[in-house]
Amino acid sequence: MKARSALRKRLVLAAAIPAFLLAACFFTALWTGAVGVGPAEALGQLASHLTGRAGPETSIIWDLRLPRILLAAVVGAVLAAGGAALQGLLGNPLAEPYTAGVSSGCVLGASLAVILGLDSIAGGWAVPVAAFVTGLAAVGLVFSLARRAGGLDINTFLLAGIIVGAFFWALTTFALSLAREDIARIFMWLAGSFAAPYPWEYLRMASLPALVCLAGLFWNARDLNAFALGEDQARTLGVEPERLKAAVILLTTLGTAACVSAAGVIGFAGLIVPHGMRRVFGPDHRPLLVSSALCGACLLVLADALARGLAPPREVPVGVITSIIGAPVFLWILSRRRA
Amino acid sequence: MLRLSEVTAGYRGGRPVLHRVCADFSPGQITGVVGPNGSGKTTLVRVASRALRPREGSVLLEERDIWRMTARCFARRVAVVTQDTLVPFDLSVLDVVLLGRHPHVGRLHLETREDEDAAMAALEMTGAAHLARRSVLRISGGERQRVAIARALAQEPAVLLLDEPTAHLDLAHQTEVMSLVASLCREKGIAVAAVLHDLNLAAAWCQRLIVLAEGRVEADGPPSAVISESLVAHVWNARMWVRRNPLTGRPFLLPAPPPYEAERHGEGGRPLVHVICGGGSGGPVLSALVHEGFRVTCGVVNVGDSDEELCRAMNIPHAAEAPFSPISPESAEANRRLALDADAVVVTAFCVGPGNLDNLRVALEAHRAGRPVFLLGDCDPGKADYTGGEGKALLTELNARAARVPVVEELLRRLRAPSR
Repeated sequence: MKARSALRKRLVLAAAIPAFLLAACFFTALWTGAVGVGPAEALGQLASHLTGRAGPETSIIWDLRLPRILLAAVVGAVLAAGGAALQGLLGNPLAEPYTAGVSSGCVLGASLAVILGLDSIAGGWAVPVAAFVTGLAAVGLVFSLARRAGGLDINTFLLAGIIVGAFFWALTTFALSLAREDIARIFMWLAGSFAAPYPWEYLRMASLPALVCLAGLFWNARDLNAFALGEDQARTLGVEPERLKAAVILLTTLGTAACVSAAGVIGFAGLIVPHGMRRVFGPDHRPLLVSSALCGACLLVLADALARGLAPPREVPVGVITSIIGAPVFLWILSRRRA
Repeated sequence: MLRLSEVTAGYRGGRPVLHRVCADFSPGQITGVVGPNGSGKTTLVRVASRALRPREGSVLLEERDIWRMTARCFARRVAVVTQDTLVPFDLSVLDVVLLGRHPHVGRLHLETREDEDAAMAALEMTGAAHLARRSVLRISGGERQRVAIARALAQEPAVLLLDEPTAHLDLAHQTEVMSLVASLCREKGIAVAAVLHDLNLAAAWCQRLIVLAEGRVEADGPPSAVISESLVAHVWNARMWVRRNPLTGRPFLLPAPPPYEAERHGEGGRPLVHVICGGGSGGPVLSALVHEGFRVTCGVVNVGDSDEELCRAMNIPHAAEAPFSPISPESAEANRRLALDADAVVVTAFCVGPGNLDNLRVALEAHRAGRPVFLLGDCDPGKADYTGGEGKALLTELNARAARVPVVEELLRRLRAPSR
């Protein structure tokens, strides 16, 4: 019972090439930053922490950069894989993880938590938890609006996502206009940043939902292939469309809410990475999800390194960098597509 | 194999589309589902394919309720080709057919060589193996239909449901798809149910027909027992003739001519035309005359002859004779009266034997009585005569005296002309 050689080759390539890239990005990011730490010293610090020989003093590599890089990788993987899955599910090339309104929901929760002064309580967990809850609530609202007796209506879901998203943004802006002194802190949520005050805690918080999201999406990858034929044809191949829709939306929402709660709204990663990967590895969701997750991680690790390295000691919001890189790349993909 | 039992079904909020429908799809047999637009054919397939849950009644696969099994389990036994076979993604044909293996491959497993072999075998069966590496976006409609059927076959189903498998296909592809389905049925013992719009196609290929009308089963049985003129008139509200295919004995349909109404015809001074014909030679001229608004009569035709059948079907007054019998004095007299009552007489090129010699005499008599007589078509007295001389003489005389018109159009033109 050997797997088809063509499929195996595609999967191995889809995993190996981006994994290699990710390793390269990881080390580049490790020695990029405001404080110059040479490659040898960086690896030395890393090794001593991994073997438990490190002293109690704070280390730039271990306490600041490593969790940041890992968080960027986790967020990038979830956004890109979630975007790939949602584009397949909704049959819409404009779909991305934020389509269902999760980002605006998260931002509203985070803003309210900051304005209410909750960010210093509960060891820094209050703000991301508030963001996570409101993010889920936003998608829950969209989901219930799009529910019909016959099942979830994709078009209504897309429209409701846009409307609910706009409504939550309006509420956020309203809250911001009332609370001027907190704008700078909230701005980091709007623009996206991995400069979390408690990097290891945020990484830990985001990891479990992210892992569930990625594993769950990959579990449904072949169902998504069949679903690309349309609901009716997918059903004849043994896919339960309603179950699949609910599962993919729930999984991406879970992962994305965790990511936005930890790092704010980082645009374009969930939109362009899947498009690029689809061009390289084809529309099969198994290589697509694997390569999207890994390349999404690459993109955000690299973007975060740029954010730290462009104008030290100041940091550029990472969402700004992804958009500045993402928009031209996306336009390039579009122009190639017409050719 | 797959059985619908007392199924009532419909779409949310609406009235039921199917009412207490019973249907049974047996192995090795093509069951055609036919009916007019909106009669519930597609809904029946949706119910049978587990896409629509019946409001009442049940659908049983090998006596198990299909809603008690998982979609995957159902898909291993029943494959469906929906009306829409479009694949919106740039996949290779082989990848599309491999999707048919979906219900057989475990969740985190990859398709194996065996799956690829099954997909290639399905493509070979549908004659589409050469397309395997092509993109589905760049194949024709007929090829796409074959790929869709190959994908269904890759599921290795026991039941195959087809919703209008020949829609959008030209004549050659229609025959190709239907003979493919028929051979699958025969060789693999698959139970096939096919929604077909074309009743002739259905009657030619199906072993059984289920006729739906307004969501109810109107008839169910072999085509020859089911298809009748009265059923077609009742269910489709269409006037059709049902004939047998002489090669297969299966019924087929022809559009029936509009009925002849003597009172309504002949308005505007169109003359009354008597047609002397036989042996099927009168059909085209009779229906053309009726179509053009002439009043017509006909004689002498034998019962069972297609000319006589036409006269009866269209309600044309005619002198008839018993099947295969010579013209009796009574029917000869009836024919003579009709001919002399008419404003013109048309004689078609029929073969003359001892039995119908009198038809020629009547034509000549009408000529002597001053009626214009037209001889339609080519008539070689030597070849048309089977009487041994007498017929030839009469034909030669008729050839000399009657106005000869080669084709029906010419006849109509001359009859329409007001002057004699």
